[in-house]
Amino acid sequence: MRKVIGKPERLWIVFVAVASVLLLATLFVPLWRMELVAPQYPEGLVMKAYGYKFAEDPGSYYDDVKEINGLNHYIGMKPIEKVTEMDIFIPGIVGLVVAAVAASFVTWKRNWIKALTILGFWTMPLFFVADLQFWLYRYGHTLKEDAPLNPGAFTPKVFGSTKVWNFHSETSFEIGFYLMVVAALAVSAPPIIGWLRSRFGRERAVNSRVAQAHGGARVS
Amino acid sequence: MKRQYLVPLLALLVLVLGGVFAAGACGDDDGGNGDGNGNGVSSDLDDIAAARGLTPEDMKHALQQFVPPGEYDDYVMFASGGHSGQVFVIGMPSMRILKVIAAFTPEPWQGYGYGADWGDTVLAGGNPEGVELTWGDTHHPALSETAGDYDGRWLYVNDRANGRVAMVDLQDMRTKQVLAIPNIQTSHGGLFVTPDSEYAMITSKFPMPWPPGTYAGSDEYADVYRGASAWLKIDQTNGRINMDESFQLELPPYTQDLADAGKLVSAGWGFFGSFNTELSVGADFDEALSEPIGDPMEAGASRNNFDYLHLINWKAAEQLIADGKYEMIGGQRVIRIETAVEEGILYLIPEPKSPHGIDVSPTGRYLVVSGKLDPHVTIFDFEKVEAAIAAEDFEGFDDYGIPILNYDSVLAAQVEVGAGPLHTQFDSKGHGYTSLFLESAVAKFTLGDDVVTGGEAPFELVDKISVHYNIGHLATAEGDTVTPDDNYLVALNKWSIDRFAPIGPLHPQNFQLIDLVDGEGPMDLIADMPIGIGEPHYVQIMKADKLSALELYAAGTDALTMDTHPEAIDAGEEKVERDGNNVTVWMTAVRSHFTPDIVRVKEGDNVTLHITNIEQTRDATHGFAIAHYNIQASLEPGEVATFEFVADKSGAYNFYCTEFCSALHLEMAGWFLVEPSDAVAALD
Repeated sequence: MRKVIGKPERLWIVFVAVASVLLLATLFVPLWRMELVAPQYPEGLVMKAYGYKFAEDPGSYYDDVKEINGLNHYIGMKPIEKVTEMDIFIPGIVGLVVAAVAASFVTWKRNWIKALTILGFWTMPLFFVADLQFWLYRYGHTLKEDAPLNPGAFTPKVFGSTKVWNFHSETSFEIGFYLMVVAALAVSAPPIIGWLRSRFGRERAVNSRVAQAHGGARVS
Repeated sequence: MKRQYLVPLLALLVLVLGGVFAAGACGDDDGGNGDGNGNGVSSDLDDIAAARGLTPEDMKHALQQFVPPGEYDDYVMFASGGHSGQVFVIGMPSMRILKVIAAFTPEPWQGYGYGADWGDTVLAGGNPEGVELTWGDTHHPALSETAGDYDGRWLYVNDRANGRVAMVDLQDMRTKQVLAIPNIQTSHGGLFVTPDSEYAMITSKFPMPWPPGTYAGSDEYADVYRGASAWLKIDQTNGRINMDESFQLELPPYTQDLADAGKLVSAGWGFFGSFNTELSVGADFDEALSEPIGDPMEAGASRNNFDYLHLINWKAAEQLIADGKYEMIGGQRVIRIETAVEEGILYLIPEPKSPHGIDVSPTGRYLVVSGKLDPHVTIFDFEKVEAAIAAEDFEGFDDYGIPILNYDSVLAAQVEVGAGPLHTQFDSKGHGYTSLFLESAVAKFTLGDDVVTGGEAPFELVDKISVHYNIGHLATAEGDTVTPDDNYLVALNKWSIDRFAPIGPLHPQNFQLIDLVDGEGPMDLIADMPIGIGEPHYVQIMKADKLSALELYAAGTDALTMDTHPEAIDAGEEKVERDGNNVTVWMTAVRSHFTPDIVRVKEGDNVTLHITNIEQTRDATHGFAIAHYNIQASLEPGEVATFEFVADKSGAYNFYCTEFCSALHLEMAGWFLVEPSDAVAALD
């Protein structure tokens, strides 16, 4: 049987390490925030989305999520609560990190594993945005008919300002989201750098030296 | 690390930092506030002053009092509410009323005494047997203290009219206990709190026949009528008074008056004055001749040139109680006068004339007494008092056997301050400030060398300021602590006469804010504040940052116990249970609905409503009132209240939220439907 474990490529392992740390860091910081803007909430009524939960703004006096849900009942909006996707966020992150590390050491179909890993890293922020926008659409389109106010179906924006009657919300991404993007960029960097090197002659010698060191495996 | 990694890693760093910055920028509001127009303010002010006819002095005072919109006061003042039976919370220096705390009188805004369990339970505690008292005359508020300093936990206040005490929890500014004190019918002396809040002390005002509950004619006044000094034990966990651990001292019928607690060098002692050592009971009226026989009390109680300052060693009294040297009277452990004399815990000092206030200086050394009919403050030195007690330096004994300390031995000085001195407060620089009722003024004088810091001579009048009019008490900021402040004094004037626009024959009282200029300069009157709710008697002024009041209750709180209410529910847990003619409803209130909003009962049913305000938002208070059932509650965010009543009138009654809570506040209502009972229906 062919040897499946091999020495990692230095370029890849360095960026994977950085990307993994950034991705793991998203477990501890929020990805997105929604603020309900109203003068009665001078400190702001802010709900934050982590990858795996909705959370209060710890600095405010309110149970922000409960309060936002309380206000949303006026237009018949369903209470905001944890969605199924949140349950796969932590396993997803852990899986990606494991895959990235595996891709560093596994020689079997290494490039395919790398490609999948890179795809996985990009899926995190992109799916997050798409899924969040989907849920915002769902919330805005499943309003109870018999609510005190009936604004008609609407779609809150995933990023920016949404105004429906008296309700004004501001949404934006938080640090965690940007960390996910940067992690994806980081994990994409080695192939790009490799391509740049192969494209511009100065680096070829280095490349071949690296290739030799790795027992002939081609650098992507 | 090799150079080839540096560039991409740097690029990555830039990206990360960029991301952090972008996130930060998204979270922030636009910080710019643009139109800073710094010019022309001074000329604007001049224009305003000219247009309104204000002098530069007025402008200075306005600035001293001004608290910009949305900013907070430095001090919070707790004022007794007089006839209102309540306590006022007032911001200082702005002199704006922040709250009225219901204490002895039912009060609808706080839902106090209108069906909710919290208020009804508290008020019931203040009803002596067989009487339902629906008012009080709050006089002397006392903040809890730690090491002689206000600690912002609790407030106690007495009811002059009925000899009761109320305890307010400063967490939520609600009264948690009202107590009728056995053996005391009326109370003026106190209320004070000892330096570590061990006890709240009140004395009886007019004595009553002992044993309490019996009758004795006025001819038995000297023999049978007695006063009492009640030492009410404070539970350190919740501020409640524990009557089982409290005790009293029997007192001669001298009509005990104002009181103060010893502190620092005089810690462990309590002091109170008296004004009727003549034992005048007033004049009987000759009904045949239509004229009084003898002196009315006004004259009879003013004949002597000296009455008695009482000194009680409460630490020693505590020990006597522990040793069992008491009798049970009116359900209280009472140390009789004879025991107090034998054990050396009760002494008298002659005090001139028709005395009123007794105030202990911040170091505890000087006891300042004001005789209403004597133009001096009389200052006793506690160190001399201790020496006189140790040496048994007595000038005699009163008719009840109580030793009278030799006046000359304990006197520090007398300072002539002016006409009608009543009460004294202190700053930190060795000054006393005494209210002069007859002169409508505040006099400032120096205490002894040991505390005077400004190079002034001891025991001299240094300043005086007119107030408007007929000042009663006065208070300096942090005034009753061991470390008073030197900036403000409030004069509590009984009459306002011409100070405010006429609003009918009953004039408001007038609080006047006075600048003490760091205790150094001449006093300066800053502002008037009308009080049109009752006649406050005394205030205590505390630094606002000592308060740690709740913004809201934890979800499901019982305001009485501050624990989770056993009937607390959350949204979705509402229910109705019927058991015969008992109907129990667990209801929630949240903007803008009650659930359920229809309650159906039968006439004669015993109705129990448990209502939970499930809000956790500042200021999201809901009221609950049922028309024609005299029910009104304040359900503050997180609070649960229980109402128990009989649906004794059939009909369709509206209930509604009485706090304007939301845009759909008017819709926050429902129906209490009381179907006529079958029996009643059959008769119709």
